[in-house]
Amino acid sequence: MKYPRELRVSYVVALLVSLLVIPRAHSGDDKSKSARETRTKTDQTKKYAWPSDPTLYVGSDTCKTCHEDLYTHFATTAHFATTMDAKLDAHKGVEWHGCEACHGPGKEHVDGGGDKSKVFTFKDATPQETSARCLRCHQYTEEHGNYDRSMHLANGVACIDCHSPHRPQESQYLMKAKSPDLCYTCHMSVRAEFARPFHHRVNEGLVQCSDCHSPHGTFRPKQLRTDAAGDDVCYKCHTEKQGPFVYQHEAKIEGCAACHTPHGSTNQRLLKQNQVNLLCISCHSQPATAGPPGTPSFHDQSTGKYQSCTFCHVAIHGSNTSRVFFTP
Amino acid sequence: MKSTKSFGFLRIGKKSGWLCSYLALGTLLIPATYAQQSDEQKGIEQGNYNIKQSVEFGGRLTSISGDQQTYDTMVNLQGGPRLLNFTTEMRSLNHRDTFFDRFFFSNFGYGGDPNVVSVLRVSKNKWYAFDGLFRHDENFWNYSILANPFNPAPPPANAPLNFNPVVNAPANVLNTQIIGTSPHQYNTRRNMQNYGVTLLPDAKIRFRAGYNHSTNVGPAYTSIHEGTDLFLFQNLSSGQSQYRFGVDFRFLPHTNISYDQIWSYYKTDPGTVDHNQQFSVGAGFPPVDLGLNWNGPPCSPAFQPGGIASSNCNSFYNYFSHWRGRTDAPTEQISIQSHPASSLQFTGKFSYTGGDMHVSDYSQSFSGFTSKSLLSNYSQTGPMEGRRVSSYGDFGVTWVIAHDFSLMDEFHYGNWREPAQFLGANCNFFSSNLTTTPVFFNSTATLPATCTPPSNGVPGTPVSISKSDPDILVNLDSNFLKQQTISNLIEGQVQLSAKAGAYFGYRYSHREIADNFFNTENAIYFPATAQRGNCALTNGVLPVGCTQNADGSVSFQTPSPVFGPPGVTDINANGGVLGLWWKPVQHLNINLDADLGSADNAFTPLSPRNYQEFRARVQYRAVSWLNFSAYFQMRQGQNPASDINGTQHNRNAGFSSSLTPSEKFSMQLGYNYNDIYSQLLVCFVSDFAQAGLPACPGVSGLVQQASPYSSKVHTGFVDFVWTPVHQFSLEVGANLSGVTGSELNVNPLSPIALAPTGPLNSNWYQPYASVSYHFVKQWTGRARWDYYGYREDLNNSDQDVFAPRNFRGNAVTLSVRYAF
Repeated sequence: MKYPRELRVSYVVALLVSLLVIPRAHSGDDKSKSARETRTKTDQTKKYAWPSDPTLYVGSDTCKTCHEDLYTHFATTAHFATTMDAKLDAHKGVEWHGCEACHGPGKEHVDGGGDKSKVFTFKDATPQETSARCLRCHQYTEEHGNYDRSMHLANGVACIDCHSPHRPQESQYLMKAKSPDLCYTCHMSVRAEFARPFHHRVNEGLVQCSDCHSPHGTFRPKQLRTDAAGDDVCYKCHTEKQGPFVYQHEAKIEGCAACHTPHGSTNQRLLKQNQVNLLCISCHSQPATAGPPGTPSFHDQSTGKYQSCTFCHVAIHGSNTSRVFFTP
Repeated sequence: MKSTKSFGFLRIGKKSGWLCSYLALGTLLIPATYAQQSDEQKGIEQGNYNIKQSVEFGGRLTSISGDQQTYDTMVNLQGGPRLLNFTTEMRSLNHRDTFFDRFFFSNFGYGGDPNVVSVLRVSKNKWYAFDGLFRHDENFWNYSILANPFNPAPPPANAPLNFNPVVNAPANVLNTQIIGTSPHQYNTRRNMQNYGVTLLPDAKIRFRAGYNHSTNVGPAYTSIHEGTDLFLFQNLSSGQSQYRFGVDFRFLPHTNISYDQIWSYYKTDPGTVDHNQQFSVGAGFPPVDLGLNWNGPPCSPAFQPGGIASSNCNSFYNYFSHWRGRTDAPTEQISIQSHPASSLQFTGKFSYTGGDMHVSDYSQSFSGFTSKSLLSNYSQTGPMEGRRVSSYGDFGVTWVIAHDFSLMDEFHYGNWREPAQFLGANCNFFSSNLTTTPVFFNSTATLPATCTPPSNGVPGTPVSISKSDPDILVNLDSNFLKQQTISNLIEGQVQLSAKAGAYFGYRYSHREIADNFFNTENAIYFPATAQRGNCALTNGVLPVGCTQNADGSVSFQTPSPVFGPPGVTDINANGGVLGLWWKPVQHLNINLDADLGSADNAFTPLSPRNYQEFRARVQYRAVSWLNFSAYFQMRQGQNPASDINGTQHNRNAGFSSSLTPSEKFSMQLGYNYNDIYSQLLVCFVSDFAQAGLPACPGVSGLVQQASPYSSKVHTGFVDFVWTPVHQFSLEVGANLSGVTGSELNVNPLSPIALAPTGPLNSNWYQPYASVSYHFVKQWTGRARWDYYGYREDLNNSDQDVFAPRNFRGNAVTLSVRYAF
């Protein structure tokens, strides 16, 4: 039976109302915009200030008296180690301990009856400010040292966008979600690539996004890692393709991505084209003096034999015995 | 009169209809509530530890129809019992235990899944942190767009009963163009282990050690072109071990200086052999392998009456190759991270690697017949050596000039070079056909190398022709390849407000690629055709480097060998980057990025000289339980050189949304559209090329044509989770993708003249569903169904000359999970 007109209209109205009402639920955030900006500007000078005067600090046990739930979670994480001093520690002093290592000295906050403006709150800070708090301890490693110049931070992604010091969903590295789901929340096109038939086994859990990319930034484009010798990260696993070889396939100089799409492809072997001969003759179409040599005139592309280049040119990533890559 | 409407079995009044709609809407608007932590998530406290543990075991049932090989290539999930997951997590309650404060051990896939992973992390505050990772990957491959391009239309005349062009192909290969085995099939297992420990992680001096080990072993098929095209069995075996030791010094304020010593050792011991001798060449002779080249047959006729292979056929009695490859590469690395002032931060790294490659015990040999040169027996030996010397230097600095402006600079230097050489000794023996014993020549001249005649050889004058290779050849090929790269990116980052920021920058890079080649030969040509090859008479005179010997042979030595002129490619590139991020309201993020660049050269035609990349992304969390994201991304490039005329683009657009209105229900869905296109001029030869194509400039005999490639991929995903009661959960979802495309068809008369080939016109469906029931405390039963559907021949016609690679796979996994 046909839906009544009024019912159809009611559904549409309900949908429109929800679309209008829901965003407004957050409109109250704007009310404190100017106050927050003022507070942020005022506290800019305190951004890197960690006074060493112990009288300004109250200790994490004091924080616990009001923030017991947060403290309980905090005590289960690796950050709890900051409450303990050791003789050889690089960072010593109350300004490196517990809650106040991140949120700054707490005495004014306590004396002010919990005045939020007297302590650093991550919620209202800029990505650069929040990340600076974390980097204060964590930047002194090769893994995190480039975060200041990373594409993530340049795009407003702060440490706490991926990590949750207080309520991590993953206990390892205090992550908000598992990889690759966490990465997919922003890199949605990459999710589609890994859903293709030929793909690196990221969704299967064999490979992690962080195997090839450093979320904290590197000196390479796309935040790609390198292998131990500084070469392309692909060779960490695909070592047999690296060489050195006596006879090089010089296209590799352009990187593996010259011929392959590393995330996923509808084409076999993650190739950029489905027929290998069309990929090969994309380069091998020129006189030898101008670049990679063209195909010989007897390589009749109308025959299956010459359409399957790698059937003869087997060692296409490089050979030690054959100038034309017939043998490895 | 009260008006009523029916919805099947449900009759509701007009007013009730309005009420229902608002109630439904209200249900969706109920804020998410946080569930109380279940007992299993809390763990148990035993001794001084909080312990959480879960184990999920069960089994999988599979049912596959269609192409099993393609299923195994893409999915490879088989039936059998499984340890689906085992996780143990221990946390010290007072952080002061003797051996460890944190212990994490997680595993999945054991029992037969193609991917198996174990993770182990153990740490004790202030003392050490250990990470261990083991990964196992079963990599089966039997898929090729041109699996065997050599299959004949009909079997050759007089072919023996049960003629089978490819060993292991199913019997129904006869009289068809379909085979079941790719000539490059493999079934390898890759094991990767990574271990690392940091001692005194918070101390002023800390020590790091690491060990990585990966192996890749397994059987594979391969091929070699020698007269005919052989189908070979290969035992792949390679592995790399890497050792790493590092020290971090943190004595200077806000500074860490690290030194790392890394040693990588790679080894490979592959062997290749021919097991495809399935044709008789006559009584008293072993069977031969006629190879796979059946649409350009090994000879004509390939068979004599009675199914006997013709003795003048390109064929092999046997083939064998083996070598030992070893590469060891020590790397020294120094790095620094420093924040000497509140407004200044810099990072630097410099590494140097001097690696050596050696190949020893190399041997390649065959016996058979190659009609083009009358080659009957051949062996090649010789060492290979090479170096890989690389140095990389990176430096980055961030200067916070003002509270809302930072200047950043990144400099990169890279230099690697690879000289390598192969000193090969070739011994060739000739005969007039497959059934005639080869003849060896007892020369009195000085020989470049010592060759052992074949066991069935007879002394005499070899039957060589003008196309025959030297009887003995010692060949030295020495190659050199290097690249030097310098690049610098300077970038300013502006904090426009607490909710917005931007960056802009300039990038310059210079690359220099150089190669060089050196070759020298020392050869001897025996009678009967001693004056051939490099010593073929020119105007009746032996060329320079050739010497006529008293016994009728001719010796050759490359005259005045020198390095050829180096090939040098210089590439200078300039580019700019620009970006904006904006959070106008809380939980609304907008990102815009642009990256533009131009170079004065390109190393390959595939590499664009000019590129443009744009990205736009919006993420909105309307309420805590509703997230929405949309994005657009475009990368495009051009290579306007007249002989390339290349253009390419990769455009992505899509959206995703997640709803978690309550703990009872959640949903995710998304869609992506990916448009991939490339075109450039290619040169090729084809008997059936389009009429009227221009000749290829600079390459004789070829024609030139634009080669477009287009692929449009639609990908969608949806996932529903419904938990009506705490004990029961239902999940239903699907990942779906479909691609359509087109490409240059260089053979318009091929069987696939009209349809694009293979995966360029395919669908890939992966729906799934699972139920879990928490039937008693700490125990949960689960059942999951996964479907894998791959289909290429959307037009119900063969995508190429091989069987359709379609398959449908159902996998049902039943398991029980125990957790506390």
